[in-house]
Amino acid sequence: MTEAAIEIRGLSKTFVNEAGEEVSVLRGLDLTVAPGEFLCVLGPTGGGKTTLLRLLTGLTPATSGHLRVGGSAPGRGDPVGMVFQQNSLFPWRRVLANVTFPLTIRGIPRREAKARAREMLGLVRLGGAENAWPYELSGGMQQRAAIARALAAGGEILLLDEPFGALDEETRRALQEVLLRIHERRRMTVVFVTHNIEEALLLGNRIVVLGGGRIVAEERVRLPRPRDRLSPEFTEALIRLRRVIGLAPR
Amino acid sequence: MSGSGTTRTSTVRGVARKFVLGALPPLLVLLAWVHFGSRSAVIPSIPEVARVLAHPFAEPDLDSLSLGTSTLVSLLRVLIGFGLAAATAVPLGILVGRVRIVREIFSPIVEMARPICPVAWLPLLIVIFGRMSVGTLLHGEASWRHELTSQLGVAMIVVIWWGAFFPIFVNTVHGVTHVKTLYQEVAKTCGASRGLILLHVVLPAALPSIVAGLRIGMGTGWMVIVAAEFFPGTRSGLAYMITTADEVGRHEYVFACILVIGLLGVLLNAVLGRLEDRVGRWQARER
Repeated sequence: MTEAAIEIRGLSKTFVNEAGEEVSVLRGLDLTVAPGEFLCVLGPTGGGKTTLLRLLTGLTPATSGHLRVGGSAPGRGDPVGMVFQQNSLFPWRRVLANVTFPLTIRGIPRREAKARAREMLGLVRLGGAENAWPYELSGGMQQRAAIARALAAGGEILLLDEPFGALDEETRRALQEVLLRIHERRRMTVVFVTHNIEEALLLGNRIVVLGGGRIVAEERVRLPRPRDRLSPEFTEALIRLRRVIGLAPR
Repeated sequence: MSGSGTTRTSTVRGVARKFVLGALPPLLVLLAWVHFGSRSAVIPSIPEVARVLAHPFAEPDLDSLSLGTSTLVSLLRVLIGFGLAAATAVPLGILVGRVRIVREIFSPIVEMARPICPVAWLPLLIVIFGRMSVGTLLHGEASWRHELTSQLGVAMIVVIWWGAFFPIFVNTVHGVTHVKTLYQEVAKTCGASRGLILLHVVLPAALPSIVAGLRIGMGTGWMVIVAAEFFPGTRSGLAYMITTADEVGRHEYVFACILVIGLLGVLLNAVLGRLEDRVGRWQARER
Protein backbone atom coordinates (compact mmCIF):
# COMPACT_ATOMS: atom_id res chain seq x y z
CA MET A 1 0.00 0.00 0.00
CA THR A 2 1.30 3.42 -0.91
CA GLU A 3 1.73 6.05 1.75
CA ALA A 4 -1.18 8.46 2.22
CA ALA A 5 -0.77 12.00 0.85
CA ILE A 6 -2.61 13.39 3.85
CA GLU A 7 -3.19 11.57 7.11
CA ILE A 8 -5.36 12.97 9.89
CA ARG A 9 -6.05 11.19 13.19
CA GLY A 10 -8.13 12.59 16.04
CA LEU A 11 -7.61 16.17 14.92
CA SER A 12 -9.11 18.83 17.19
CA LYS A 13 -9.03 22.59 17.06
CA THR A 14 -10.36 24.88 19.74
CA PHE A 15 -10.43 28.65 19.46
CA VAL A 16 -10.96 31.16 22.23
CA ASN A 17 -13.46 33.75 21.01
CA GLU A 18 -13.62 37.42 21.96
CA ALA A 19 -15.87 36.68 24.92
CA GLY A 20 -13.17 34.35 26.24
CA GLU A 21 -15.19 31.20 25.61
CA GLU A 22 -13.71 28.11 24.04
CA VAL A 23 -15.18 27.18 20.69
CA SER A 24 -14.51 23.75 19.21
CA VAL A 25 -14.29 23.87 15.45
CA LEU A 26 -12.91 20.39 14.85
CA ARG A 27 -13.49 17.52 17.27
CA GLY A 28 -11.47 14.39 16.70
CA LEU A 29 -11.48 14.36 12.93
CA ASP A 30 -10.16 11.29 11.10
CA LEU A 31 -9.37 11.44 7.40
CA THR A 32 -6.94 9.87 4.96
CA VAL A 33 -6.36 11.17 1.46
CA ALA A 34 -4.65 8.90 -1.04
CA PRO A 35 -2.08 10.24 -3.51
CA GLY A 36 -3.75 11.49 -6.68
CA GLU A 37 -7.18 11.57 -5.08
CA PHE A 38 -9.57 14.47 -5.75
CA LEU A 39 -11.34 14.94 -2.44
CA CYS A 40 -14.17 17.40 -2.00
CA VAL A 41 -15.00 18.64 1.49
CA LEU A 42 -18.60 19.76 1.88
CA GLY A 43 -20.19 21.42 4.84
CA PRO A 44 -22.09 24.41 6.09
CA THR A 45 -20.39 27.78 6.56
CA GLY A 46 -18.59 27.79 9.87
CA GLY A 47 -18.38 24.00 9.81
CA GLY A 48 -14.60 23.92 10.08
CA LYS A 49 -13.75 23.52 6.38
CA THR A 50 -11.45 26.52 6.19
CA THR A 51 -9.91 25.65 9.56
CA LEU A 52 -9.10 22.19 8.24
CA LEU A 53 -7.15 23.68 5.30
CA ARG A 54 -5.36 26.16 7.56
CA LEU A 55 -4.24 23.28 9.78
CA LEU A 56 -3.05 21.34 6.72
CA THR A 57 -0.89 24.26 5.54
CA GLY A 58 0.46 24.92 9.02
CA LEU A 59 -0.96 28.47 9.09
CA THR A 60 -2.82 27.54 12.28
CA PRO A 61 -1.52 25.01 14.81
CA ALA A 62 -3.76 22.12 15.81
CA THR A 63 -4.96 21.84 19.40
CA SER A 64 -4.45 18.08 19.38
CA GLY A 65 -4.27 15.12 17.06
CA HIS A 66 -1.98 13.59 14.50
CA LEU A 67 -1.44 15.34 11.18
CA ARG A 68 0.83 14.40 8.27
CA VAL A 69 0.94 16.22 4.95
CA GLY A 70 3.13 14.62 2.30
CA GLY A 71 4.76 12.61 5.06
CA SER A 72 5.73 15.51 7.32
CA ALA A 73 4.19 17.85 9.88
CA PRO A 74 2.21 20.73 8.30
CA GLY A 75 4.40 23.61 7.16
CA ARG A 76 7.56 21.56 7.72
CA GLY A 77 7.89 19.50 4.57
CA ASP A 78 7.63 20.54 0.94
CA PRO A 79 5.25 23.48 0.57
CA VAL A 80 1.72 22.66 -0.53
CA GLY A 81 -0.19 24.78 -3.02
CA MET A 82 -3.07 26.75 -1.55
CA VAL A 83 -5.77 28.69 -3.38
CA PHE A 84 -7.86 31.10 -1.34
CA GLN A 85 -11.44 32.18 -1.97
CA GLN A 86 -10.67 35.87 -2.40
CA ASN A 87 -8.10 37.32 -4.79
CA SER A 88 -4.76 36.59 -3.16
CA LEU A 89 -2.39 37.68 -5.92
CA PHE A 90 0.33 40.08 -4.80
CA PRO A 91 -0.88 43.37 -6.29
CA TRP A 92 2.67 44.74 -6.62
CA ARG A 93 3.76 41.85 -8.85
CA ARG A 94 2.67 41.21 -12.40
CA VAL A 95 1.01 37.88 -13.20
CA LEU A 96 4.20 36.05 -14.20
CA ALA A 97 6.07 37.38 -11.16
CA ASN A 98 3.24 36.14 -8.95
CA VAL A 99 3.67 32.63 -10.33
CA THR A 100 7.47 32.70 -10.10
CA PHE A 101 7.23 33.84 -6.45
CA PRO A 102 7.16 30.38 -4.81
CA LEU A 103 9.99 29.28 -7.10
CA THR A 104 12.32 32.24 -6.57
CA ILE A 105 11.99 32.12 -2.78
CA ARG A 106 13.08 28.50 -3.00
CA GLY A 107 16.21 29.72 -4.75
CA ILE A 108 15.37 28.42 -8.22
CA PRO A 109 17.28 30.47 -10.84
CA ARG A 110 15.27 33.22 -12.50
CA ARG A 111 15.35 31.74 -15.99
CA GLU A 112 14.17 28.32 -14.87
CA ALA A 113 11.53 29.83 -12.58
CA LYS A 114 10.14 31.85 -15.47
CA ALA A 115 10.00 28.83 -17.76
CA ARG A 116 8.15 26.81 -15.14
CA ALA A 117 5.80 29.67 -14.35
CA ARG A 118 4.96 30.01 -18.05
CA GLU A 119 4.20 26.31 -18.17
CA MET A 120 1.80 26.69 -15.20
CA LEU A 121 0.13 29.70 -16.80
CA GLY A 122 -0.33 27.62 -19.93
CA LEU A 123 -2.01 24.89 -17.88
CA VAL A 124 -4.60 27.35 -16.56
CA ARG A 125 -4.90 28.91 -20.06
CA LEU A 126 -3.59 32.30 -19.02
CA GLY A 127 -0.58 32.41 -21.33
CA GLY A 128 -1.33 35.84 -22.79
CA ALA A 129 -1.66 37.66 -19.49
CA GLU A 130 1.77 37.19 -17.97
CA ASN A 131 2.63 40.89 -18.08
CA ALA A 132 -0.71 42.11 -16.75
CA TRP A 133 -1.12 43.58 -13.28
CA PRO A 134 -3.53 41.62 -11.05
CA TYR A 135 -5.99 44.53 -10.94
CA GLU A 136 -6.29 44.37 -14.73
CA LEU A 137 -7.64 40.79 -14.57
CA SER A 138 -11.23 39.62 -14.15
CA GLY A 139 -12.08 37.59 -11.06
CA GLY A 140 -11.89 34.35 -13.04
CA MET A 141 -8.49 35.19 -14.47
CA GLN A 142 -7.20 36.13 -11.01
CA GLN A 143 -8.18 32.69 -9.74
CA ARG A 144 -6.54 31.03 -12.74
CA ALA A 145 -3.31 32.86 -11.88
CA ALA A 146 -3.71 31.88 -8.22
CA ILE A 147 -4.06 28.22 -9.23
CA ALA A 148 -0.95 28.52 -11.41
CA ARG A 149 0.97 29.97 -8.44
CA ALA A 150 -0.29 27.21 -6.13
CA LEU A 151 0.80 24.58 -8.67
CA ALA A 152 4.23 26.21 -8.81
CA ALA A 153 4.42 26.19 -5.00
CA GLY A 154 3.57 22.55 -4.45
CA GLY A 155 3.26 20.17 -7.33
CA GLU A 156 2.11 17.19 -5.28
CA ILE A 157 -0.67 18.53 -3.10
CA LEU A 158 -3.16 21.27 -3.94
CA LEU A 159 -5.57 22.74 -1.39
CA LEU A 160 -8.42 24.96 -2.53
CA ASP A 161 -10.72 26.91 -0.22
CA GLU A 162 -13.97 27.65 -2.09
CA PRO A 163 -11.87 29.00 -4.95
CA PHE A 164 -14.78 29.61 -7.29
CA GLY A 165 -17.26 30.83 -4.67
CA ALA A 166 -17.13 34.46 -5.77
CA LEU A 167 -17.38 33.78 -9.52
CA ASP A 168 -20.37 33.82 -11.85
CA GLU A 169 -21.77 30.52 -13.08
CA GLU A 170 -20.15 30.56 -16.49
CA THR A 171 -16.68 31.46 -15.24
CA ARG A 172 -17.04 28.91 -12.47
CA ARG A 173 -17.74 26.14 -15.01
CA ALA A 174 -14.76 27.14 -17.15
CA LEU A 175 -12.48 27.01 -14.11
CA GLN A 176 -13.90 23.69 -12.94
CA GLU A 177 -12.97 22.28 -16.34
CA VAL A 178 -9.48 23.77 -16.15
CA LEU A 179 -8.94 22.23 -12.73
CA LEU A 180 -10.21 18.81 -13.81
CA ARG A 181 -8.00 18.85 -16.87
CA ILE A 182 -4.93 19.68 -14.80
CA HIS A 183 -5.77 16.93 -12.32
CA GLU A 184 -6.20 14.44 -15.13
CA ARG A 185 -2.78 15.36 -16.51
CA ARG A 186 -0.74 15.78 -13.36
CA ARG A 187 -2.55 13.50 -10.93
CA MET A 188 -1.73 15.64 -7.91
CA THR A 189 -3.66 15.20 -4.67
CA VAL A 190 -6.48 17.74 -4.41
CA VAL A 191 -8.48 18.79 -1.37
CA PHE A 192 -11.27 21.02 -2.60
CA VAL A 193 -13.47 22.79 -0.05
CA THR A 194 -16.90 23.95 -1.17
CA HIS A 195 -20.44 24.38 0.11
CA ASN A 196 -21.85 23.65 -3.35
CA ILE A 197 -23.08 20.05 -3.54
CA GLU A 198 -23.26 20.01 -7.32
CA GLU A 199 -19.70 21.29 -7.59
CA ALA A 200 -18.44 18.59 -5.23
CA LEU A 201 -20.21 15.90 -7.23
CA LEU A 202 -18.88 17.24 -10.51
CA LEU A 203 -15.25 17.34 -9.37
CA GLY A 204 -14.54 14.80 -6.64
CA ASN A 205 -13.56 11.15 -6.59
CA ARG A 206 -14.75 11.21 -3.03
CA ILE A 207 -16.84 13.59 -0.97
CA VAL A 208 -16.70 14.00 2.78
CA VAL A 209 -19.25 16.08 4.65
CA LEU A 210 -18.13 18.02 7.70
CA GLY A 211 -20.57 18.80 10.47
CA GLY A 212 -20.04 19.63 14.11
CA GLY A 213 -16.29 19.31 13.70
CA ARG A 214 -16.38 15.72 12.42
CA ILE A 215 -16.99 13.86 9.21
CA VAL A 216 -20.70 13.03 9.25
CA ALA A 217 -20.97 11.48 5.82
CA GLU A 218 -18.69 10.10 3.17
CA GLU A 219 -19.48 9.23 -0.42
CA ARG A 220 -17.35 7.69 -3.13
CA VAL A 221 -18.34 9.13 -6.49
CA ARG A 222 -18.37 6.50 -9.22
CA LEU A 223 -19.84 8.58 -12.01
CA PRO A 224 -17.75 8.25 -15.19
CA ARG A 225 -15.86 11.29 -16.47
CA PRO A 226 -16.42 13.66 -18.13
CA ARG A 227 -19.44 14.14 -15.91
CA ASP A 228 -22.58 15.63 -17.39
CA ARG A 229 -24.56 17.53 -14.84
CA LEU A 230 -27.69 17.14 -16.98
CA SER A 231 -27.52 13.34 -17.19
CA PRO A 232 -30.03 11.26 -15.21
CA GLU A 233 -27.18 9.50 -13.34
CA PHE A 234 -25.79 12.81 -12.17
CA THR A 235 -29.20 14.02 -11.01
CA GLU A 236 -29.78 10.75 -9.23
CA ALA A 237 -26.43 10.95 -7.45
CA LEU A 238 -27.14 14.56 -6.52
CA ILE A 239 -30.49 13.65 -4.97
CA ARG A 240 -28.93 10.80 -3.03
CA LEU A 241 -26.13 13.01 -1.78
CA ARG A 242 -28.63 15.67 -0.70
CA ARG A 243 -30.50 13.00 1.23
CA VAL A 244 -27.32 11.77 2.88
CA ILE A 245 -26.43 15.27 3.97
CA GLY A 246 -29.98 15.98 5.08
CA LEU A 247 -30.11 12.80 7.15
CA ALA A 248 -26.63 13.24 8.54
CA PRO A 249 -26.65 13.84 12.28
CA ARG A 250 -25.35 17.26 13.25
CA MET B 1 -3.66 53.09 -25.42
CA SER B 2 -5.91 53.60 -28.41
CA GLY B 3 -7.29 57.01 -27.61
CA SER B 4 -10.00 58.00 -30.06
CA GLY B 5 -10.10 61.47 -31.54
CA THR B 6 -12.64 62.83 -29.12
CA THR B 7 -10.84 61.67 -26.00
CA ARG B 8 -7.58 63.10 -27.27
CA THR B 9 -9.18 66.50 -27.91
CA SER B 10 -10.76 66.47 -24.49
CA THR B 11 -7.39 65.58 -22.93
CA VAL B 12 -5.74 68.47 -24.76
CA ARG B 13 -8.54 70.70 -23.62
CA GLY B 14 -8.18 69.38 -20.08
CA VAL B 15 -4.45 70.14 -20.01
CA ALA B 16 -4.99 73.59 -21.51
CA ARG B 17 -7.71 74.28 -18.99
CA LYS B 18 -5.50 73.18 -16.11
CA PHE B 19 -2.69 75.46 -17.25
CA VAL B 20 -4.83 78.49 -17.95
CA LEU B 21 -6.74 78.23 -14.68
CA GLY B 22 -3.63 77.39 -12.70
CA ALA B 23 -1.81 80.38 -14.20
CA LEU B 24 -4.44 82.86 -13.05
CA PRO B 25 -3.38 83.34 -9.41
CA PRO B 26 0.35 83.78 -10.21
CA LEU B 27 -0.65 86.27 -12.89
CA LEU B 28 -2.68 88.23 -10.37
CA VAL B 29 0.23 88.19 -7.95
CA LEU B 30 2.52 89.43 -10.72
CA LEU B 31 0.11 92.25 -11.62
CA ALA B 32 -0.18 93.27 -7.98
CA TRP B 33 3.62 93.20 -7.77
CA VAL B 34 3.99 95.48 -10.81
CA HIS B 35 1.36 97.80 -9.38
CA PHE B 36 2.75 98.09 -5.85
CA GLY B 37 6.41 97.58 -6.73
CA SER B 38 6.57 100.87 -8.59
CA ARG B 39 5.17 102.94 -5.72
CA SER B 40 6.64 101.26 -2.65
CA ALA B 41 10.02 101.60 -0.98
CA VAL B 42 9.71 98.16 0.60
CA ILE B 43 8.66 96.08 -2.38
CA PRO B 44 11.38 95.85 -5.03
CA SER B 45 10.58 96.06 -8.73
CA ILE B 46 10.55 92.98 -10.95
CA PRO B 47 13.69 93.96 -12.91
CA GLU B 48 15.62 94.42 -9.67
CA VAL B 49 14.72 90.92 -8.50
CA ALA B 50 15.27 89.47 -11.97
CA ARG B 51 18.81 90.93 -11.99
CA VAL B 52 19.64 89.12 -8.74
CA LEU B 53 18.23 85.87 -10.07
CA ALA B 54 20.04 86.23 -13.41
CA HIS B 55 23.47 86.42 -11.74
CA PRO B 56 23.24 83.90 -8.91
CA PHE B 57 26.97 83.66 -8.29
CA ALA B 58 27.71 87.40 -8.36
CA GLU B 59 29.14 88.57 -5.02
CA PRO B 60 26.38 90.56 -3.29
CA ASP B 61 27.35 93.76 -1.46
CA LEU B 62 26.07 92.14 1.69
CA ASP B 63 27.66 90.24 4.53
CA SER B 64 26.57 87.04 2.83
CA LEU B 65 27.64 84.44 0.31
CA SER B 66 26.17 84.75 -3.19
CA LEU B 67 22.60 83.65 -3.86
CA GLY B 68 23.81 80.55 -5.70
CA THR B 69 26.19 79.49 -2.94
CA SER B 70 23.60 80.22 -0.27
CA THR B 71 21.14 78.03 -2.14
CA LEU B 72 23.74 75.27 -2.40
CA VAL B 73 24.47 75.50 1.34
CA SER B 74 20.78 75.30 2.29
CA LEU B 75 20.16 72.49 -0.17
CA LEU B 76 23.14 70.44 1.02
CA ARG B 77 22.13 70.86 4.66
CA VAL B 78 18.66 69.56 3.82
CA LEU B 79 19.88 66.71 1.64
CA ILE B 80 22.37 65.48 4.24
CA GLY B 81 19.87 65.78 7.11
CA PHE B 82 17.18 64.14 5.00
CA GLY B 83 19.51 61.34 3.93
CA LEU B 84 20.38 60.61 7.55
CA ALA B 85 16.69 60.72 8.47
CA ALA B 86 15.78 58.26 5.72
CA ALA B 87 18.69 55.98 6.64
CA THR B 88 17.57 55.82 10.26
CA ALA B 89 13.78 56.21 10.11
CA VAL B 90 13.12 53.48 7.54
CA PRO B 91 15.03 50.65 9.28
CA LEU B 92 13.78 51.72 12.70
CA GLY B 93 10.22 51.99 11.37
CA ILE B 94 10.43 48.48 9.93
CA LEU B 95 11.77 47.16 13.23
CA VAL B 96 9.10 48.94 15.29
CA GLY B 97 6.39 47.85 12.87
CA ARG B 98 7.44 44.20 12.82
CA VAL B 99 8.72 43.44 16.31
CA ARG B 100 6.24 43.88 19.11
CA ILE B 101 8.72 44.32 21.93
CA VAL B 102 10.59 47.04 20.01
CA ARG B 103 7.28 48.79 19.37
CA GLU B 104 6.40 48.64 23.06
CA ILE B 105 9.77 50.09 24.00
CA PHE B 106 9.87 52.91 21.46
CA SER B 107 6.23 54.01 21.05
CA PRO B 108 6.04 56.21 24.18
CA ILE B 109 9.29 58.07 23.52
CA VAL B 110 8.41 58.61 19.86
CA GLU B 111 5.01 60.02 20.81
CA MET B 112 6.68 62.36 23.29
CA ALA B 113 9.40 63.52 20.93
CA ARG B 114 7.27 63.92 17.83
CA PRO B 115 5.42 67.15 18.69
CA ILE B 116 8.62 69.03 19.61
CA CYS B 117 9.43 71.57 16.93
CA PRO B 118 12.89 70.63 15.65
CA VAL B 119 14.11 74.23 15.79
CA ALA B 120 13.59 74.21 19.55
CA TRP B 121 16.65 71.97 19.81
CA LEU B 122 18.92 74.30 17.89
CA PRO B 123 20.34 76.46 20.73
CA LEU B 124 21.16 73.36 22.72
CA LEU B 125 22.66 71.64 19.68
CA ILE B 126 24.83 74.65 18.91
CA VAL B 127 26.18 74.48 22.46
CA ILE B 128 26.83 70.76 22.10
CA PHE B 129 28.34 70.73 18.61
CA GLY B 130 29.76 74.25 18.50
CA ARG B 131 31.42 74.91 15.17
CA MET B 132 31.64 71.25 14.27
CA SER B 133 30.74 70.86 10.60
CA VAL B 134 31.06 68.43 7.72
CA GLY B 135 34.21 70.41 6.87
CA THR B 136 35.88 69.97 10.25
CA LEU B 137 34.85 66.31 10.31
CA LEU B 138 36.44 65.69 6.93
CA HIS B 139 39.54 67.81 7.70
CA GLY B 140 39.23 69.30 4.27
CA GLU B 141 41.90 71.60 2.89
CA ALA B 142 41.33 75.29 2.43
CA SER B 143 39.70 74.96 -0.95
CA TRP B 144 36.31 76.37 -1.97
CA ARG B 145 34.99 72.95 -1.20
CA HIS B 146 36.22 73.32 2.30
CA GLU B 147 34.58 76.70 2.57
CA LEU B 148 31.33 75.11 1.52
CA THR B 149 31.61 72.10 3.80
CA SER B 150 32.52 74.28 6.76
CA GLN B 151 29.07 75.87 6.38
CA LEU B 152 27.37 72.49 6.81
CA GLY B 153 27.18 72.67 10.61
CA VAL B 154 26.39 69.49 12.45
CA ALA B 155 23.85 71.24 14.69
CA MET B 156 21.87 72.37 11.67
CA ILE B 157 21.95 68.92 10.09
CA VAL B 158 20.75 67.31 13.31
CA VAL B 159 17.79 69.71 13.33
CA ILE B 160 16.87 68.71 9.76
CA TRP B 161 17.27 65.08 10.69
CA TRP B 162 14.89 65.56 13.58
CA GLY B 163 12.31 67.29 11.41
CA ALA B 164 12.41 64.77 8.56
CA PHE B 165 12.69 61.70 10.77
CA PHE B 166 9.17 61.53 12.15
CA PRO B 167 7.11 61.72 8.94
CA ILE B 168 9.30 59.00 7.42
CA PHE B 169 9.22 56.91 10.57
CA VAL B 170 5.46 57.18 11.10
CA ASN B 171 4.71 56.34 7.47
CA THR B 172 7.09 53.39 7.49
CA VAL B 173 5.48 51.97 10.64
CA HIS B 174 2.04 52.48 9.14
CA GLY B 175 2.99 50.83 5.85
CA VAL B 176 4.67 47.87 7.50
CA THR B 177 1.84 47.22 9.96
CA HIS B 178 -0.94 47.49 7.36
CA VAL B 179 0.13 44.69 5.03
CA LYS B 180 -2.82 42.34 4.43
CA THR B 181 -2.47 39.16 6.47
CA LEU B 182 -3.62 37.21 3.40
CA TYR B 183 -0.46 38.12 1.45
CA GLN B 184 1.78 37.05 4.31
CA GLU B 185 -0.13 33.78 4.60
CA VAL B 186 0.21 33.11 0.88
CA ALA B 187 3.97 33.58 1.23
CA LYS B 188 4.01 31.29 4.26
CA THR B 189 2.18 28.51 2.40
CA CYS B 190 4.77 28.88 -0.36
CA GLY B 191 7.39 28.09 2.25
CA ALA B 192 8.79 31.61 2.80
CA SER B 193 10.70 32.28 6.02
CA ARG B 194 10.16 35.38 8.15
CA GLY B 195 13.05 37.13 6.46
CA LEU B 196 11.82 36.31 2.96
CA ILE B 197 8.31 37.47 3.86
CA LEU B 198 9.78 40.77 5.04
CA LEU B 199 11.80 41.14 1.85
CA HIS B 200 9.26 39.95 -0.72
CA VAL B 201 5.91 40.82 0.86
CA VAL B 202 6.11 43.38 3.65
CA LEU B 203 8.60 45.77 2.05
CA PRO B 204 7.04 45.92 -1.43
CA ALA B 205 3.59 46.29 0.09
CA ALA B 206 4.79 49.09 2.39
CA LEU B 207 6.93 50.87 -0.21
CA PRO B 208 4.30 53.38 -1.41
CA SER B 209 3.68 54.42 2.19
CA ILE B 210 7.42 54.69 2.88
CA VAL B 211 8.00 56.87 -0.19
CA ALA B 212 5.05 59.07 0.77
CA GLY B 213 6.81 59.50 4.12
CA LEU B 214 10.03 60.46 2.33
CA ARG B 215 8.18 63.12 0.35
CA ILE B 216 6.56 64.58 3.44
CA GLY B 217 9.85 64.36 5.34
CA MET B 218 11.64 66.24 2.57
CA GLY B 219 8.99 68.98 2.75
CA THR B 220 9.40 69.23 6.51
CA GLY B 221 13.18 69.36 6.18
CA TRP B 222 12.95 72.20 3.69
CA MET B 223 10.66 74.16 6.03
CA VAL B 224 12.82 73.49 9.06
CA ILE B 225 16.04 74.63 7.37
CA VAL B 226 14.59 78.06 6.64
CA ALA B 227 13.42 78.46 10.23
CA ALA B 228 16.75 77.21 11.58
CA GLU B 229 18.81 79.56 9.44
CA PHE B 230 17.05 82.56 10.95
CA PHE B 231 18.72 81.73 14.26
CA PRO B 232 21.62 83.85 15.42
CA GLY B 233 24.93 82.10 14.99
CA THR B 234 24.14 81.07 11.44
CA ARG B 235 26.56 82.48 8.88
CA SER B 236 25.09 81.25 5.61
CA GLY B 237 22.07 79.86 3.79
CA LEU B 238 19.03 81.33 2.09
CA ALA B 239 17.27 82.43 5.27
CA TYR B 240 20.51 83.98 6.58
CA MET B 241 20.75 85.93 3.33
CA ILE B 242 17.17 87.13 3.86
CA THR B 243 18.06 88.40 7.34
CA THR B 244 21.21 90.24 6.26
CA ALA B 245 19.56 91.73 3.17
CA ASP B 246 16.56 92.85 5.19
CA GLU B 247 18.81 94.61 7.75
CA VAL B 248 20.20 96.89 5.05
CA GLY B 249 16.93 97.26 3.16
CA ARG B 250 17.98 95.24 0.10
CA HIS B 251 14.58 93.73 -0.50
CA GLU B 252 15.35 92.52 -4.02
CA TYR B 253 17.57 89.88 -2.33
CA VAL B 254 14.79 89.02 0.10
CA PHE B 255 12.39 88.46 -2.76
CA ALA B 256 14.87 86.47 -4.81
CA CYS B 257 15.58 84.18 -1.84
CA ILE B 258 11.88 83.61 -1.21
CA LEU B 259 11.36 82.72 -4.87
CA VAL B 260 14.25 80.25 -4.79
CA ILE B 261 12.93 78.66 -1.58
CA GLY B 262 9.51 78.22 -3.19
CA LEU B 263 10.84 76.86 -6.48
CA LEU B 264 13.20 74.38 -4.83
CA GLY B 265 10.41 73.23 -2.54
CA VAL B 266 8.22 72.52 -5.55
CA LEU B 267 11.09 70.77 -7.34
CA LEU B 268 12.04 68.49 -4.43
CA ASN B 269 8.39 67.61 -3.92
CA ALA B 270 7.94 66.85 -7.62
CA VAL B 271 10.95 64.53 -7.75
CA LEU B 272 9.73 62.46 -4.80
CA GLY B 273 6.15 62.72 -6.08
CA ARG B 274 7.21 61.04 -9.30
CA LEU B 275 8.95 58.30 -7.35
CA GLU B 276 5.79 57.90 -5.29
CA ASP B 277 3.69 57.46 -8.45
CA ARG B 278 6.16 54.93 -9.79
CA VAL B 279 6.27 52.68 -6.75
CA GLY B 280 2.51 53.04 -6.23
CA ARG B 281 1.55 52.10 -9.77
CA TRP B 282 0.13 48.77 -8.68
CA GLN B 283 -2.20 50.52 -6.27
CA ALA B 284 -3.99 52.22 -9.17
CA ARG B 285 -7.22 50.29 -8.67
CA GLU B 286 -6.55 48.84 -5.25
CA ARG B 287 -8.34 51.60 -3.38
